[in-house]
Amino acid sequence: MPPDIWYAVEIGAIAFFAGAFGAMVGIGGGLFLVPALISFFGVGTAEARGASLVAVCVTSIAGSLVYLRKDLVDFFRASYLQLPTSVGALLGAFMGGALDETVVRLLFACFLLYVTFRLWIPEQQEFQQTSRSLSWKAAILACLAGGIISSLLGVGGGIIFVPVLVLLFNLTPQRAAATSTYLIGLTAAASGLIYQQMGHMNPKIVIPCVLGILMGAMIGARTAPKVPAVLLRRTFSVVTFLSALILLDKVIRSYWTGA
Amino acid sequence: MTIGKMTWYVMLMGLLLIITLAMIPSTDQAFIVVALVTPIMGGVTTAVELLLKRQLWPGISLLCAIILIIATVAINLFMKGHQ
Repeated sequence: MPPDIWYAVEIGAIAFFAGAFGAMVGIGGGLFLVPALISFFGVGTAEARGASLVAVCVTSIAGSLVYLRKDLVDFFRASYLQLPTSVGALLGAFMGGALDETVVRLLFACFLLYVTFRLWIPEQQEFQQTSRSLSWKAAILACLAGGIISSLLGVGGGIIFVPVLVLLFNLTPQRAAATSTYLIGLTAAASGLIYQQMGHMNPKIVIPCVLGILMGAMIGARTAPKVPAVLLRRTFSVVTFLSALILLDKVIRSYWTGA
Repeated sequence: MTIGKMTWYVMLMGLLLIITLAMIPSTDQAFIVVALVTPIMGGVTTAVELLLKRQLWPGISLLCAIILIIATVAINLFMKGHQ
């Protein structure tokens, strides 16, 4: 096989596992994909984020198809929250283009440490910790921040949108996940278009990522109910913690070498 | 007709087009553009569905978000063209 095809197969395989892992814990594959592309394939952070954003778009489309059929998407809330989320996504895309690679890696590592903490605590306890006192203003600010984080780091942002939808609107976690899946598609599209204009989309990375993550997500979603949820969340919190450590190691090395 | 039915068809057509383009060589850029534009088309369809159902403010809010995205992309493209 030519080296190009091997490269695509390797990236597709990593994306497959990222998609499967993401679907199993319900946080999307971008969180695993971006650090893997940076750490194992030496892909630049901007290209890794660009590829991840296209993958987020496609998984959002596929996920929305399932959720729309089941009538689980809350269009009323999604429509109101789409505006601050899109503003955040556009801001994040321009910030992502202006920031240094090392700074983005450091931010990603911090975000992964936050996700590690979120995955470690049990799911029910997670939503009980705060009383249902979030206001509209807080929700809009959270969605703005979610849009910036999603765009800046190349992730879906469901880990921020789902708690906001549950805590403010009393949506069930399933309905919140469906609404968030619909919401992140347009958010990722907004920032993805800016990334494309900046020339951060490499089709040799994007296409295997999209196909791998899509297949992985389908298989992961079917496998997840067979594995205990607590075990899944604890296992993946270890994975996100290790990813954060690898990224921090890269940040420290580039700081010392001045690269 | 419930809200989301037209959106479902638009999203399905987009996904089928994305998968088709992934199989055809030398359509890499078209693949990326279709993948990024499909959620926007879905959003426009949802906004139209909301407006048709007289859900005025959610529909307008969603349309504003989409107009903002398109305007930013267009201005960015224009600025790049002038650099």
